[in-house]
Amino acid sequence: MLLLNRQGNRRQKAAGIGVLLLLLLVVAGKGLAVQLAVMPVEDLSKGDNGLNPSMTGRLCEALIQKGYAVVEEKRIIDFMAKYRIRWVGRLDTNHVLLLRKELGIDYLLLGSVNQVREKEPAALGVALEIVRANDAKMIWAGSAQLCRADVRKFLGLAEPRNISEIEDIVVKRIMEILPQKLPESAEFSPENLTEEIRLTPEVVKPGAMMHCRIRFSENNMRPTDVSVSVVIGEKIVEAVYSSQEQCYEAAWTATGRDGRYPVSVSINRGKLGRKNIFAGSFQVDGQPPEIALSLRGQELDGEVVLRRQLTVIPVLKEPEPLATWEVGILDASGQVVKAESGHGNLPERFSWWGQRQDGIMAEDGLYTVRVSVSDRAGNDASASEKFRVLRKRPELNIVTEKKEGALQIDLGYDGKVPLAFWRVELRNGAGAILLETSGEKLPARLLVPLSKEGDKVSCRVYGQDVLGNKLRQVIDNLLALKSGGDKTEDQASGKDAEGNGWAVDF
Amino acid sequence: MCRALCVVISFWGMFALTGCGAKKPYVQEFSVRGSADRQNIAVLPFVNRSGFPQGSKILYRLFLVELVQQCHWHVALEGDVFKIYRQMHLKPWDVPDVEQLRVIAVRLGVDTLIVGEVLEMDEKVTQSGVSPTLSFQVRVYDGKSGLLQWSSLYRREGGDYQKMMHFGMVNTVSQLGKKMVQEILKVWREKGLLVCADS
Repeated sequence: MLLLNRQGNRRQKAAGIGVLLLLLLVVAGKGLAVQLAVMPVEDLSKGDNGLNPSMTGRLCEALIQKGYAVVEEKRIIDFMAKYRIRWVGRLDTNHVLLLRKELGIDYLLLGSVNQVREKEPAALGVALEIVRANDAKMIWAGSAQLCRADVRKFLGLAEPRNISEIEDIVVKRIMEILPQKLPESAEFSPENLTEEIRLTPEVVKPGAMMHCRIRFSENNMRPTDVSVSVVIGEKIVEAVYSSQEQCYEAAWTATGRDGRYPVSVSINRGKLGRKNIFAGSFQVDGQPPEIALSLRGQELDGEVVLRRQLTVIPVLKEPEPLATWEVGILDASGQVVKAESGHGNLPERFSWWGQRQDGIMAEDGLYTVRVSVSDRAGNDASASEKFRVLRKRPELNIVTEKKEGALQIDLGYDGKVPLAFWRVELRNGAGAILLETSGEKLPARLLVPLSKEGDKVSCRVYGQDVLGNKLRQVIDNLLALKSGGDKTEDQASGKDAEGNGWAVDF
Repeated sequence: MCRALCVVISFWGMFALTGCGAKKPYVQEFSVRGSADRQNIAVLPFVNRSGFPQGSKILYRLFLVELVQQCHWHVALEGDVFKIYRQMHLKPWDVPDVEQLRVIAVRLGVDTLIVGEVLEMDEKVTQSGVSPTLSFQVRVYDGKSGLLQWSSLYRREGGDYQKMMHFGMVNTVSQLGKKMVQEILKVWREKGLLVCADS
């Protein structure tokens, strides 16, 4: 009995050890498995920065089945939130190295769903990249595409029916081409030391300050290990480390003739050697741009006139990129009545319809258009041209006089803009035409016989000046006009027969 | 009768098998070829002139994949490329000038830069099937000098790959893009322009 008990205990002990060993193997196996971070898969079909959680999940499952230890999704999202990574589908070297440091990963999977077509025939395209975390090198990449039309089987048997089934096949194909063992490498030796080199500004005036900022990745450089200088031709400027900004900064005065100057950054890492990096170039520009204006509008006596629209064409004699521009219309007293400004190059042309900034039409008079520009170095230039606004309607002077049973009408014109033509209609009280005449030149004299006492003679004058300003005068009764051309009460009070004093055109 | 039928069938078979096989990417060489030890490359964001949504990104990713898969080159990470673009105030659809190309190459530590433009990308879904069309231009620049070395222009349609009935038919732009990129890389290798790490 005692012997049987001892044997049973031994068996239990052996079984316990076996279970323990199995557990150890599982734990050790998990610990030895390659740590892989699957970044959220980008979905190009959902626009910029679209996300495909379904594909991300499927890839994670497939990789776990393949024996990889996949990092929890929550940890990756936390990492992205911590480092403010607001895009999917790509990651820079610095973030890859940080990911390795913080999550202890060996590899990183970046993926994108390139194409999703839901409607028949449904299709899906996926591209994947594997980045080795210790040196941030892309070591493998693959893509798989599938369209339902690619899989034609007898009687449609075992054909994928929807996008979900296509996803399964695509993931399966990806797993088939994914190598069983991913290539390893030694620890990261930084080839590219710099995280950022910023040379500002691009164009400067002679004597202005230039700045160069050099920032190293926090993973590969300590400020005590390195000295940095900026080389501009034969000039060498030592860069100073700013602990606040955590970068090296060099500043120098841009001197010399106008032209382009290359800049390189020299990084001295003591025993590890010196490296020169081309940082770009800057341009010294002390020459202000030369600008000329060409006005397009109607012309009168060699002067550009605005009646409807004025077009201003600015021309740079030597075209160059501009930083800002400003156009202004100034009245005779120098007050700005309309202004516009913008960044970058000048528009090809400006058009002004004669409206002031407040929307009211500008009055007739002499105006100036001025265009001011500033180039990228800050050199200013401006040009201006004068023009005249002439939109006043022409008006005839009408003088009447009764003479031996007839009415003598004298038409005169003393406006600045010559008339192109005029036409007069005279009607009696019944509306019958007494006289209709037209001409191009003034003054002119008309004679109308008066039929009966007390009848009235209405007059309508039409015409246009050479600029196109229309003339329209209506006088109900010429006989009521005071002799010598004095105006009737209506006319004296400024009431126009048209009743619309503002109407420039009709 | 039987003999005539055999001749017709054999002619049809020849046509079906050869298809448009003669079509090859057009390659224009501009400057001296790079040295054989070049193995670092950066693909800069492609420009999309096709109007196809995300057309440039689709082709960009396919190019990255094929460069790594076929040539085992060290391809700069897309994230690094975009970071430099951001720092240089370049928009992804901007084509960098010579100096900017040199700066990008130095900063990424690469000796070759690829710039691409998607000229046409379309997928017509009809009752008879899908007809994808893709046309793009790829330019390869020397990182040190920023000079154009060679460029390729290529246009194909899904039906160009049809062998017989529906066999060989390409039904998606991504699949068509992959095939076209593979063909371009093959031609570059044949011409000795691209020396792959394993070849």
